[in-house]
Amino acid sequence: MKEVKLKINGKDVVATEGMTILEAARKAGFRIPTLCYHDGLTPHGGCRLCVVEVKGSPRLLTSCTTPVADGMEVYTDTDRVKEARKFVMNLIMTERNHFCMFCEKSGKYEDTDCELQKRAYEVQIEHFPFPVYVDKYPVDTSSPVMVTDHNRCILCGRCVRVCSEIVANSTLDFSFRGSKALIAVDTGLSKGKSSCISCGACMQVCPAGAIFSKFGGYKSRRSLCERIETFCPICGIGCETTNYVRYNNIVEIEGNGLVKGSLDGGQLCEKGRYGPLMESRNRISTPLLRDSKGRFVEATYEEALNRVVQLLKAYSPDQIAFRTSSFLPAEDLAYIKEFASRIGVKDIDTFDGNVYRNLSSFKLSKGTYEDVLNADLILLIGGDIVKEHSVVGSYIRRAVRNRGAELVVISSIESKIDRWAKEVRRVAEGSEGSLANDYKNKIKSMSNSIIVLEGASLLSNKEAIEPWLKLAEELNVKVMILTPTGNSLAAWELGISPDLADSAGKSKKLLFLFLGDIDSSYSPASIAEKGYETIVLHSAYIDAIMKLSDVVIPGKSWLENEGTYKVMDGKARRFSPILKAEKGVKSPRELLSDLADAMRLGSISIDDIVRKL
Amino acid sequence: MAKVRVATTWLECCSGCHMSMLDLDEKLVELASKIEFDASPITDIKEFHPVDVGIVEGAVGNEEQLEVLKKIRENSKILVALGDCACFGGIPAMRNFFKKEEVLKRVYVETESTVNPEKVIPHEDVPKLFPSVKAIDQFVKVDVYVPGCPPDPKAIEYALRELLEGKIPVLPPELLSYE
Repeated sequence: MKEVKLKINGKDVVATEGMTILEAARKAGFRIPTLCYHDGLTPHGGCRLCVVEVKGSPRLLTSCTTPVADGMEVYTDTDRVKEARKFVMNLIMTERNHFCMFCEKSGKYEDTDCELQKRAYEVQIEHFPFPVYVDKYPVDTSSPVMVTDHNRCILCGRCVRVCSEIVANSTLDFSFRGSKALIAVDTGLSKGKSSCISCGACMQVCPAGAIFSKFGGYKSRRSLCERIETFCPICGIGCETTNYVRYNNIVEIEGNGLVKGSLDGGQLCEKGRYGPLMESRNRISTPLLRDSKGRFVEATYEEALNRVVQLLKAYSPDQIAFRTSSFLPAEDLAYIKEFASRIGVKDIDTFDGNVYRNLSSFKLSKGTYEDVLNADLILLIGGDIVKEHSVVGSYIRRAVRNRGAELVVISSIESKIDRWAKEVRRVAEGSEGSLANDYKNKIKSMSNSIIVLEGASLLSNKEAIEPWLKLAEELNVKVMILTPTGNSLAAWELGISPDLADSAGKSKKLLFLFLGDIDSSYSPASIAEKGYETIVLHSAYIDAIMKLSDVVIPGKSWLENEGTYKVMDGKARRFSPILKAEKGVKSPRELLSDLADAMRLGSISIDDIVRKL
Repeated sequence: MAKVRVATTWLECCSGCHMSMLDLDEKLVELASKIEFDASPITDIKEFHPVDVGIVEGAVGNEEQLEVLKKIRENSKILVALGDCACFGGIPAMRNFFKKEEVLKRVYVETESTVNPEKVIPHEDVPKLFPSVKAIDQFVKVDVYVPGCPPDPKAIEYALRELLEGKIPVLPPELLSYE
């Protein structure tokens, strides 16, 4: 790339062609305050806070949109620039309701959560020199997860840009003009009734208090929170997150990497950003044992362990089945497998074990996220991608919007992705496979096709996916498998969901159930209908299966359990716990380690197994 | 050296800024050797006399407050707006987003703690309410602004010390606060 030589505040700076003055100045260590500018979004030049003086230009220029040029002389901090910035801030603060003390994002200089307020401090706004505008604007609380208060909006357009450029859902836009301008949701709908997918990207980039979470409000300022960077294992994508935690409560979850060049643009979905904050289920707080009259009685952990030991001895190994969620870290999955094999139990499986069993006999060419972005035909089969794997949905929309890719949706349920499709085929659940051959010629006629298989119920249904897999194999089309849970892939590679484990399922009498948390493939009803004589449950939350259980032992939730996950892209990642578990609450590996001691099975080591992932 | 004479008053506010002034704690003792308070809620002197510095807490929302503001302005060489209400309008300005009649009805008739079966809205012997609450610089000239709800004692101390040195204080960003 061509070098450009310029002077910033008298210092010689070398930049590359195409860079803006702002980028060159920041690289050279000069600070220019910005407001509507955001690292991950296209510059907008709307707020005028980043103006600089350029020699030879009669007016001030916005540094975020002006490209550098050879021989340019830029001044970022002259009196004229400072005066202009203060004037701009005064105009912004005068319009609408910027009385900070009413706002939850407000704070002192060091610990405010509000970028607008921070900039106002910086330019030393100490009063409103112009009469304040007091028109009332709407407040939209219809979204299940966020509030939009137009009275605090400064019309910087960050939300509009993130919704269109990164999420590619284009729900937000501007409407009306001048001081009456409003951020519009679709064509003037409320967020709750619109095409909004509640991903919260707009909330993350809002520099004022105009879009804020329904769950974080007034809980804590970020400066008072512990900051934990990890990722989200709820689905197989594994988006990077930053978690703000205070007093063992999550205050806010944000996506990481909203900077230029990052693929996902720091997105999260509704489940990832708000799910843990919306948690309303009750925890299992103490071990429970069923007495001779069939009632639950509270027990100590040791009593529960003893009962489990008795049960494991009372049944022969071929009468015992182990079932586990692939939401658990690989360490737990490996330990469960090792423990089962020590006591001779062969029937061990995850709830989504069928997913990989169905795939195992096919030679598939695995599609990557880039393949989705570069595809010209995308066949999206099954499920609702907006609910289950929303971030991949954004790649599909980007391909459709930016490159004119053709999207075909074949699914039994309606989805907010449907409006982007050229063709939507509504079929009965389970019969998605019957349409595979209709698309053979179409795939042949396109140069870059990808088949995206979505949802636990589709992937675990052999009849529904086999025709697609055969087609993919035959035409050598890329396939993307959207795995249901964070560790589905690891579970398969560790052999937790082995071939044909279900074959002897019916004769089992004792079920040992490990629910780290409840993944999308888990169904209490299907466990109940198998009619186990005895169920031992190790779980974090109270649910329908607890009523059928005979021994209940409280477990850690995924938020509290450290461990390794291997997500869809095949990279093993370490999950750092976001919350601390209560004393005495165990992960499956801790519970089984205690059981192994009680049964004198000797030490079980899983380090080598996990390291291989 | 003669002491600097200071008057303070509070208008539409919660008195929190005066409390913040008292939070200067032991520094008050030191300042007391250089400052003498005239009319002020602290001294309980009601009549204003000519002073060097007048400090106003609170916004203007009714006739009486405007009277008091004008009096302290006339008597002060330098007028300080102390706190968000005086500087911006603050919490009292929340009522600007409603009509005056709505506000009076809500306060005197509808609030959960009110017992007012005749639904009387006071109109005699009380100052007339303005249609909206405004910062004090909408009525009189203000020389120094110390925002904050309340301002940090450090900000108040900074402003007073600058004034004692004969300078017009401009608060640095880290001493500014709007909350």
